[in-house]
Amino acid sequence: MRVKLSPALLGSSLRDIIGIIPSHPSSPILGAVMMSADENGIWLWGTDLDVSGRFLVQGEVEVPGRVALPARRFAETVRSLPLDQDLLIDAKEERAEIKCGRSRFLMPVMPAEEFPVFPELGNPDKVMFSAVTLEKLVKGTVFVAGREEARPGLNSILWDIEDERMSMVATDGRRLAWMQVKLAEPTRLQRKFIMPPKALNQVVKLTGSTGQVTVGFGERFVTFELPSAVLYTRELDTAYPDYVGVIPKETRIELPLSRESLVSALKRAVIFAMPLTSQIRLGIGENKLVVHAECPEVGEATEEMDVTYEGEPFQIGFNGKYMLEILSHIESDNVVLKMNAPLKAALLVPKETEEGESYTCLLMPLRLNE
Amino acid sequence: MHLGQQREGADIAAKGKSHMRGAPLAVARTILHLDLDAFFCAVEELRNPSLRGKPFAVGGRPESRGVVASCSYPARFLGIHSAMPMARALRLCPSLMIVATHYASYEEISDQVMERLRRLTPLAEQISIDEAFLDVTHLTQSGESIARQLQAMVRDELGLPCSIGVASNKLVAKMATDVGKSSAQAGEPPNAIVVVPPGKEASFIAPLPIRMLWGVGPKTAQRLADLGITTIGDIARRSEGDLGHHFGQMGPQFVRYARGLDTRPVITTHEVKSISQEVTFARDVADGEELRRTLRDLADRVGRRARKAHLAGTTVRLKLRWSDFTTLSRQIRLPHSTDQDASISAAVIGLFDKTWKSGRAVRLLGVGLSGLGPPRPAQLSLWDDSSEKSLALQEALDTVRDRFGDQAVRRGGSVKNTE
Repeated sequence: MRVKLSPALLGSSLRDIIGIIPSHPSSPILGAVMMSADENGIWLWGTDLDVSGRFLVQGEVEVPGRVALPARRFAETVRSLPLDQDLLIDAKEERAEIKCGRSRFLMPVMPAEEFPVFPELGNPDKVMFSAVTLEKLVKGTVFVAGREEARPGLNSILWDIEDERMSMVATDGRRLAWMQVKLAEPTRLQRKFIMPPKALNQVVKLTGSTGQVTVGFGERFVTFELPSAVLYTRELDTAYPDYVGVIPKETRIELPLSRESLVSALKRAVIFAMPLTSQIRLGIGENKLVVHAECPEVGEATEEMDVTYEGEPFQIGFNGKYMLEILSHIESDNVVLKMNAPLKAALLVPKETEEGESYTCLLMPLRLNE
Repeated sequence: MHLGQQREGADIAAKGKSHMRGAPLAVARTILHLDLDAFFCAVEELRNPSLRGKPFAVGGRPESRGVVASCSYPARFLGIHSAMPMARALRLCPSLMIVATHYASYEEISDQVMERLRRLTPLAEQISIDEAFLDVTHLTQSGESIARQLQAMVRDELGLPCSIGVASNKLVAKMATDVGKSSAQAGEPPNAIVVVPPGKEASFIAPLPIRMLWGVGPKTAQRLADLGITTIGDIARRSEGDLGHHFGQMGPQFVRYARGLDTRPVITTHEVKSISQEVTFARDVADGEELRRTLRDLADRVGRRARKAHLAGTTVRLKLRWSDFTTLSRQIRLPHSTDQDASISAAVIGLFDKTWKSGRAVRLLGVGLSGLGPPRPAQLSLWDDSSEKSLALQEALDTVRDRFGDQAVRRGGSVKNTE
């Protein structure tokens, strides 16, 4: 295989694909990026077996073929090259020669035939989504997806499509975010997918918030077709936890709050919270909300806000940073904090939503020590 | 930082199943207390048989202010005892050989002993590296005959001497061992077996000095002596209320013990009650920064051990020994249980700053974490079975207490049986 490309374009595609390739691959070939050159152009391929992607790179194919190279070293090399010279890659059986201006590198190649075969999708149901809608759902939910390997169900995203309604759910057990939107056009689809958040993050990163994304729903895979890339994600073989069941249907205490005032009060209070738990205590009294945080070495902070409340005084603890993070994903100027008891799930929801939309963020409290 | 000896401590408290079957207090139990004689030295003699019969001590070098961890019977005969500074031991016996500790070997051999004890009965409770209790009530042979077999097995299979006390409870069995050990021939391991028949407990321990009673340390002994109490029999003759007046909660306990009464079962599962770490400086340190640094280091070790054991504690303790050997400890209860180095270290340094006056020389520092429990996460979680359950219970308890008062419901373990 021999190709000629621009280091800038190759570098940018490599950067995208590195986001997919595992940093600690379970076998050497999984740490590789494969480059294929033929009549379809020059493509880079990378996978972590759950999520795979191929990216089109502009360039000239002199001799078709394919080569697998250690991804990170290759990317690092390309990134450090001068951008104004052409880059020549000449891959032989044993090693690849990379030339750019007066620089020359030799890299041992990895066996391309061992590179994982990408899934064949057959004839998937294809639906076009606006990138804005996808981005909204992904950004509104993915931030609470768990990262712990120990609870696999909790580090995935549930994507639920029911004709013209589409929702995503993510949770790490401490927080849960559930967003539903009404699509402009019905999909005539009824599918539920559990997938790692990685592919969705990549799609959002690649599309930004413009254009359309064609999504193919296969048997066990979903593909995202972008102008110069295709991403594949495997459906995870786990059951999604019962998220509907844990969301309180009714709440005893509902506090409408200005998002901005709550955010600024929390931001100041969190400075004084215990670093590990970021514990803040909300004291709700007659028409008053007191946000309190303290840490032995640091001091304490008390913030008062006016609220409309006439029930029994009530105290509840939360991780202030979790709360702030949720609030930063709510667009509405006013939010409602809904609670039942100090040790029960609380909800933060926007007061105003667009028609057909709903956004529910659940937050588990922190146990307050008496 | 010059570190002399480091010591780790883990106080063990009983938890879990107690092995008292049937009507526990009606049936006389048979409890064995086994103590390996000069255990560290016995192991060293196995490692190096030329040490046999010679005065030697296991422990740190006198230059680094080492102390005697264990000493051979010939050395004991010369007045050397464990915990004595090595320098003093050498003054008493200039020909004393000093052997470095090989803790891994002691642990390994200790495990082999325990394994043999458990072969005899699963009701074996190890209380230290060289001591264990066995409940042999269920075995058909007599306590004495089991003790003989055990002693022979430990000697023949492992080459270790041991002493055994046999009685109807742990307290008296241990005291029987101590009595047996103190009657050793000069320069020889005691290899004692002492049996206290049921019914003779009180009369057996009555003539013994109060220091031999469980829970009586030097300070308590002094206060008892001030009351004219010198033997265990003297305590036994007092009323529980009388001693309770002087010693609070421990008073009635002393009286019951002095009467040879002890209902504590042999416990086969354990939990750690406290985690501590201390260091004796090679030379006294008066530099505040160095002392604080040492405390942080000790706190980190305590934190690490806590996390390794999946425990978090609510009380942080500072132990401090001045250069004149007076020792004090201070403790603080934290608002949350913690297993985090930073919290432990912040707490202990807070205690230190309140206690230490600039320029005062310190010989030993220690950091402890107690009030241990599972690192109960303050953050509640969905789909978390155990926490859901404990939550529900907690909430149910709170609701009842709100309505009927604090004493309305209590957990099973905290209810005293009054029948």
